[in-house]
Amino acid sequence: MMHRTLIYVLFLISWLSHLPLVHGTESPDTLLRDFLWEELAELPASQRPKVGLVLSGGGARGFAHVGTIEVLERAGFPVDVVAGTSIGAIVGSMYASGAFTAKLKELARAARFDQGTNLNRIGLIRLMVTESLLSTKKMENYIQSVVGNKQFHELKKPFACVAMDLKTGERIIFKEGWVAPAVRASMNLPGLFKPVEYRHRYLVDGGVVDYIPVDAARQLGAQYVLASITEGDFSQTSVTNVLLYLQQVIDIRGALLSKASRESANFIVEHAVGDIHFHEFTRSGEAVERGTIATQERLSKAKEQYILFSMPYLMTSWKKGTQFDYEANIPKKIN
Amino acid sequence: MKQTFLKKLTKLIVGMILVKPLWLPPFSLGISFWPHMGVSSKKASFDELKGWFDQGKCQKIVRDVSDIWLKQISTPYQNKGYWYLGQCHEKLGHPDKALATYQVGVQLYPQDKELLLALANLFHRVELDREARALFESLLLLDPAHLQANIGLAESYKKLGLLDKALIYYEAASKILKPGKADGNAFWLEYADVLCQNGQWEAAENSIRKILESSPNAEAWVRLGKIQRAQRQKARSLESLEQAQKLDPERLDIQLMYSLWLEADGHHNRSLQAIQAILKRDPFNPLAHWILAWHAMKSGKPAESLQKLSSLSEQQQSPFLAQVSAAMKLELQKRTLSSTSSP
Repeated sequence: MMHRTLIYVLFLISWLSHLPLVHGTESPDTLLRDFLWEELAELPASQRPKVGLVLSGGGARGFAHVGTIEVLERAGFPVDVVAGTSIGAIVGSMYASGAFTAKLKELARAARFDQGTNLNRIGLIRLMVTESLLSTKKMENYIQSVVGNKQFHELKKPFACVAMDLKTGERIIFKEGWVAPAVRASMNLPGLFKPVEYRHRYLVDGGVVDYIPVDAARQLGAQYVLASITEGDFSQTSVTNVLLYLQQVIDIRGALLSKASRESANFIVEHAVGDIHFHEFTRSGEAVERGTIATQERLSKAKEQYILFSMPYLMTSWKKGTQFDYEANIPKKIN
Repeated sequence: MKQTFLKKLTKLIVGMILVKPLWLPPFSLGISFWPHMGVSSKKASFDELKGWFDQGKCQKIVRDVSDIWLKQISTPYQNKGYWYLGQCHEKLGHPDKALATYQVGVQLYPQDKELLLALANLFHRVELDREARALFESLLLLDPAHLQANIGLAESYKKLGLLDKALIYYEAASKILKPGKADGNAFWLEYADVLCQNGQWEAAENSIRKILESSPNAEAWVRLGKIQRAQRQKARSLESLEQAQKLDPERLDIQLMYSLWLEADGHHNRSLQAIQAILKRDPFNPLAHWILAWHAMKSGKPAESLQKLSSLSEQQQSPFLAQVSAAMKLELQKRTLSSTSSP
């Protein structure tokens, strides 16, 4: 009954918002947006605001980021730097290495929760009996197989990922060094997997301290940050086993942390993936699809916001070739 | 006492059942004169409803045909009755009532293709494509070669951004669609659009050129122009828009697009001429005024530009245009101030 009522209300809203459209004509707003988007696309990267794509944590939900990347690429939305936490770090590192969307989708479909770990029956028994945590060593090999045995500066786009030092509680932002161990550290779920010992630190999943790493993107020079968020709906989760208990704690913590990050991002794409549990990798294809749909819905607005943000740069480009020379007033890059 | 009452009640009920032929006809006749019920004393006729629909008497149908009336229609035709009623609601501009009618129809007849298609198309028209998609998929399960369902599902996937899936159904529909059909032009244009978005420029251009060869229309030229523009073929894109204008001189959006492209490409005089023609037809067109403001800014007339941008930033007809104007105005004011204040 509630579902039918909701459909009816949505229908009315949708119908009213489409009055009165003349078939086959475009509105002034659409014409202007498309035109200014073309103008912006013609600007060299150094003459427009640098765009940072931020990918949140979220386990299997995070495959929605692949859908976001697909839609942005198709629309020609520039992405200059990438930052990610946990699953966002995995997807982000692959994207920054130059992997095409088709490849990312293929990887998403083939992904398994135990991939890159020794999460199997023997591992779980050992965990219960000897309290010996599982390892994510194989994840490094997996990342290397996709990204290559590369350092951060060798990637096609600047990339950063976030982990937490278990001993100090510090947020550690990786922007240099070897990619694979940094990404492994970023996705290393505390309580289930052993901390990653790297650069004299004991590192666990960055989602514990920075679920939506907007700061990391700003540190890479991003002026305009588009954040792709895959938060869980912890109010609807029934905690029936250890994994869900862990997920619930991380999701609640993530939601509390993300408030400040949301406010500091320039634009947010929020995916309706709250019902997908973080270990449900069998639903990765579904997550990708939902990511595509959510980003497509927000695409026009994302373009409009970036156009408005870039107005000083557009106006500078328009002054070129004219006789009237205005004073340039480009905003300073945020360090 | 209680038993006596119960005995009397039982006798009354039995008696009424036995003498039903005596009291039922007058009762029914009495009800039929009740204006709001719309139930005929004779068995409801599907042929009547069909006749009204064929004569275009939609007002009569929505006034007189209620749910109860529909239930009077004999079962093989009842589903069509819901379809007729829904169609009439749509024609009279009541899509919400059409929605309710189709939903009841689909609930009662979940395998009725016409009802499924009507409901799916209604959702698609108002961009509730998640709901539309599920209905188109149900229809295709019943009939995989259903052309409208293939097209509808392709369009829903396109709207949702799932272009890989959209292409599958566009291709399926293209095999079913008879070549050369004029009303297939819209289909080929949408197919070309998806190919464009997917970066398949050549295939998209070929698709549009086929339409232009068989039945040239303004929209096809506009789409071709956009493809050419995206590939930086600026001169050719302008020629395509000129062709579009010849075929549909009434479309203001084509003229505005033409003016924008001319201005961007440095053909200022031609752009201004095009704008003046637009303003004769629509003196308050916000985009035409924005192009003038933009031209003034680039021509070194900031005061004129600022004046136009001020009023454009306050208009409510085009919200994004208002935001752009406000942003430009702010930036232009800063720059004009800094250039006048510098030594």
